This record gives sequence, structure tokens and C-alpha cells, in this order.
Amino acid sequence: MIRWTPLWLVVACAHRVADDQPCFEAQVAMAARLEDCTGDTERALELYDQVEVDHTCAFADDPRFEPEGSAVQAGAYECAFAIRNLACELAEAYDQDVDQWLTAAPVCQWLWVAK
Amino acid sequence: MMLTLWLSLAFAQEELFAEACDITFPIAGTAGFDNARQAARINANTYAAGAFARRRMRKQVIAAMDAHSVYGVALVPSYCDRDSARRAGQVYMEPLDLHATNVGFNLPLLEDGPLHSKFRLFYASSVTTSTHWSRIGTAFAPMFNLYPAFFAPVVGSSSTGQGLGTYSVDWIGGALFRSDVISVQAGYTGRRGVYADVTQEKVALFVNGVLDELGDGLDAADLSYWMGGLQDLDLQRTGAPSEAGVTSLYARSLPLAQRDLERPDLQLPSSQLLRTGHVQQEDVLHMLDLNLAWQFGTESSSLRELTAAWHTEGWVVRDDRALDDGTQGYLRAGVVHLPGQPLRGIKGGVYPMFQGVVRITNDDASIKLIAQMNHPDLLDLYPFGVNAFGLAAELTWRIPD
Repeated sequence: MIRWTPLWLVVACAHRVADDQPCFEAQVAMAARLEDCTGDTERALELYDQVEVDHTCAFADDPRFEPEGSAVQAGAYECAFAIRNLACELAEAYDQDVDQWLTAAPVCQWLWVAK
Repeated sequence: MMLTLWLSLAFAQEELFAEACDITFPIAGTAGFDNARQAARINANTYAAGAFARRRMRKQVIAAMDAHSVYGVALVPSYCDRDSARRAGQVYMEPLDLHATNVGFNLPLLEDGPLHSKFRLFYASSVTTSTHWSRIGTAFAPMFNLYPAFFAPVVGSSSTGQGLGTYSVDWIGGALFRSDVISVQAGYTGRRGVYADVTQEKVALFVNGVLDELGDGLDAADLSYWMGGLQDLDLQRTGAPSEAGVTSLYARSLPLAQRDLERPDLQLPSSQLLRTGHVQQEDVLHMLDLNLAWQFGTESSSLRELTAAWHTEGWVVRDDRALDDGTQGYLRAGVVHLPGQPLRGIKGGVYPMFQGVVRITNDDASIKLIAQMNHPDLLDLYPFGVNAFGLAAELTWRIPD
């Protein structure tokens, strides 16, 4: 099915982030960092899928991230930043262990919680 | 007309989204930020002088000047730090725009030697910028970049950038030998080292590449990109009627990221290489083009592009003829398929593609104005640039017959 995008997105204008954006960014960051450090795309994609197997995104439901429009919501992105700057030795050691990746920054454990 | 289109787009978006935020901070660590940084590097590398020289400084061209802009090539989670803005205190998606300006000249030293050979010196340059700020404030960036493009060797090849705002200058100088049999172009690029291009003219076979670095044990991995096959073979040469058109059949491998030269043992992962095969039949019945491309080298190959184009007669220049004078048009539409790219935060899918081009030509010069969205060339460059909108103006001056 062809993706017909709304006009305001067609020319890629400013718009809202998705409700689970900080979680998504952390998930992408884990996989991207593993690929950066190992050069192994398959391993990275496995980790990407693994995140959602045992964990769920709590960003939208956690009152600690309220109210919308507060700086604390921007702080939620610290998780992705910390993960993308993780030492390669740690990234390789963490491999498919999502709980280990979530120790990269305290806010990571607020975002992704065990099911 | 181009300027009007450019300004209309900029004004329209400024009107609609003026309240979004005018003091905004991109958030590092996000996929959008990473894509945007990569887009800025790709913009600098691909509109670099070497690529411009191959694509534009050929045949009868004596000078060329291009301006390209791509709006919304990446969407970056950004924090708005303006109390009066509608997005005050919010994280929202802010687009990154790219601009590139190229200038090139040929200096003919020999124009009619043995086997119709030509020997020319050439110069080509590029100035590229990326902006994550008011579109109205950056609408004229391609024009402001003309000065450093003309004087790039003096300005010096440089690349600067903090966050997502980047500025890069590159140039290439060298010599071109062209005859009925072979065309050889070689030179030095200010940022990337030695550049070479060899084309066998009779059967249209070609191969070209750029070396990351020169050193011991040169191998295929040192090639930044490679591309080879059959390009622009006019079937008339094989005895077919001219209505059969012009055939291209080639494969290529484009890096979507730069290798980490401090870690030479680490090759680019397969997700960072775009390998595609192309079948193109242009100028069928002097008015139709068909394009088919597929992606390979990954776990599953996939359709990359299926498009058709209509153009006015004389749009495709064949047999070394000069461009026909007057105004001509080209419309291309179809679909492109982008595989999902979880590591870039991009969902894949099939997207509509269009391109509209107007070309105005007189005896000595031509101007080409281009508007396009989801064009394969754009997506080859920026695989995360879904629905990015490109505008370009290309001016060409030719050696009089």
C-alpha cells in the first residue's frame, strides 16, 4: 500500500513527536550503538526486536514525565544520548541483554520497564 | 520562476509554522539527530566537486553552475526554548534543510586533435550547508554560497559544524582528455585526494571511483563507491531505429556512511551500503523513459524504483547533438520502495514519487529548473529522507559549435 502522507508532512514541516518517542529513540540507540561497535547489522536488529519482547514503554503513563511541555520530557531523551555514547567494550558485553543497556542512564529504567 | 518557487515554499512554511519555535535545540542521541548529521556529511560528499565534475562538466560544457536545496531531509526531535512560541518547552520534530552550490569551468587547450580529441583543464567546486533554523532566513543560502564556490582554492577546503549547522567547501582541479575512443578525467580534490574517471566512448562502458586514501595494500574496500556497466548506449549504433531509444544497464555500490579511518579493520556494515542494479530505457518514441531499479546485497533484494516519464521531443541529447533551442519539459512519476531501516528510526514502505523539470535553452546556454519529491536520486543520497522535497537550478554554458 502506498503511503500517502498528509500535506503538512509532505514538505516535512515541524510537527509533534510521537507519544512514545523517547522510548523509540532509546530502542533505536541501543541497536545503532551495537552496530557501530561490532559492524554486525544482524545482531543489532535482533537487539532492536528484543527490546519489545520483555519490556514495555512507560513514558506516556509515568506521572514523573508530566506535564506535557515541561523540560523533564526533554530529559527523557538523555537515555538515547547515554546509550549512543556508551563505550564499545560495554556495548559488546551487553549484546542482547536489554536490562544491561538500560543501566546506561537512570532515566532509561523509567522509560522501558519489564513486562 | 525558480526564485518564486523557492520563496513561496519558504514563505508558506514560515506563515504556517511561524509559531512553532524560533529558538530550538536539536537533541543529540536521537535517530533524527544522527540522520541529520549524516545528511550534512552526505550533502558535502555527494555534491562534492568530483561528483559534480563527472555529472556536469562533460562534452560541450564550458561552464556550469548549480544550486540544490532539499527541505526536510531529516526530522530531528528538538527542544523549544522560546517562552512565546507555541511549542514553548516542548520536544517536537524540526526539519533539517540542505543546500549545495556548485560551480565549474573548462579551459579548452586543444579542441580538434587526432580522433577528434580534446584536451582541457577543468575546475569544479562545491559549497554545502545544512540548516535547522528559519527557512525564510536560509532561503538564499545557495546564492550566498556562490562567492566561496568561485574561490574555493583560496578559501580552502574546509568543513565546520556544531550541532546540525554545517558549512563545507570542496574543489577539484585537473585535466580532461577526450577522443572518439576514450575519455580520461583526472585531478586532485581538495578534501578527498586523487580522483579519476575513465570511459570507453564507443560501447559506453564505464567505471569510476574515489579512493578513501592511498596507502599500501590497496583493495576494493578502499573504494568509497563504485559504479560500472553500460550507460547511455544509443541503440541506433546497433542498427535499431532511433525510436528504440537509449539504454543504460549498470550496477553500483554507494556508501551511506563514511568508514572510520581510525579503525581500518571495521568495514562498513551492509546496512550502510546501498547496492542497486538499474535498467533504463530512455527516449523511447522520442518521448518516453522507463526506469527499473532493484536493491541487492542485503538479505532480501527488493524493488527500488518503478517509474515512467514523459518528455518533449529532443529532451534526450543523442549523437553529440547540441540541445534544441526553446523550452522543454519533463514529468516523471511512479513509486519507490524503501526497505524499513530500524537502525535509522525509519519505517519502510512504498511511496509516491514525482519530478517536474523545465529546461530553457538558447544557442550558448541552458537553465534547468527541477522540483521533486521521493526521487530515487534523493533517496539514494538520503535513505532517511522520506518525503523530503528538492528544488534545484542548473545553469550550463556550452562551447559554441
